[in-house]
Amino acid sequence: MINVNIALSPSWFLGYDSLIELFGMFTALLICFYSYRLFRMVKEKKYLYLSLSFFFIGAALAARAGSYLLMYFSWGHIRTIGSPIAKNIIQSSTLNFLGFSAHIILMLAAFMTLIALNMKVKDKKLISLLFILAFTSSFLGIYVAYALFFIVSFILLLYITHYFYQNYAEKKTAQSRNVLLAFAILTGAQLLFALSSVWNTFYVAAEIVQLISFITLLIHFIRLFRK
Amino acid sequence: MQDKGGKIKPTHLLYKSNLSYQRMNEYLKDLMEKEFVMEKEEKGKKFYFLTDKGSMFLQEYNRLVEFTESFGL
Repeated sequence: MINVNIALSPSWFLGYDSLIELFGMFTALLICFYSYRLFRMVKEKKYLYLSLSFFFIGAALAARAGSYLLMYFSWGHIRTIGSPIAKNIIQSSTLNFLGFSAHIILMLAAFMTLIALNMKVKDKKLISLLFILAFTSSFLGIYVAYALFFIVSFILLLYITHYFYQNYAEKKTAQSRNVLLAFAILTGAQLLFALSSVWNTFYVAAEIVQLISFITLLIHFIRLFRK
Repeated sequence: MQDKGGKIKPTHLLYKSNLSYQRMNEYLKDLMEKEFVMEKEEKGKKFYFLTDKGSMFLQEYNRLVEFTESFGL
């Protein structure tokens, strides 16, 4: 039996996207652990929520990287399929589908946690309602258009980036600027991911832009420890 | 203390901290118990010194503040 898998990546880029996702995972988990350490020290829940959001980001990237690697290096035939067919992600193998679903759930959980933290939303029912709406639209949307999840992510990240912009406008520090920059770049990457089903070069651009975003975050994190 | 090369006279500390003498002594006592600060005499004058432990704590605290501010927490 031939497994036909969907690869949005051009063939020359196969595997590199997984490396980028794993780099992002590493950066996110660094911030997650440090924030959790601060929570243990000062016992303030805001550090726990920040830690949780970056944990979700790291786990989401790990899920996507894992599903890519399974797809690229599985024993079945791998075909790079053009954009019209790539819309229907459900045609990929079950593991790929589960990997991508895990990615959606975890990434949306991360964004919801960040939004709740930034906007100081305390109503858990409201947070869970927002999560259900975002998840339902993204998850059901992949049956219609692969891009829908990335459009939802783009919108959520716009809110998050706007908060970081307000923080930078108030504090005017290099550190707050770096976080703003990282999230602004990540927001842009979501748009490129949304367009990748049209032309797979956008996918390469999206991954590179995402990499820049995580490099920015990592540099910011390293600078904290250099003094 | 850091600005003054890790040591400071009690009167300078009182002036810079803008605390009452009693309050300053309370805090100093607490800091000395935690071994962040130590008291020593040099040339017949009393000085307060930032210990290595105190220096590390200060570094960690500054890092916490920067991290917190950068994420707008």
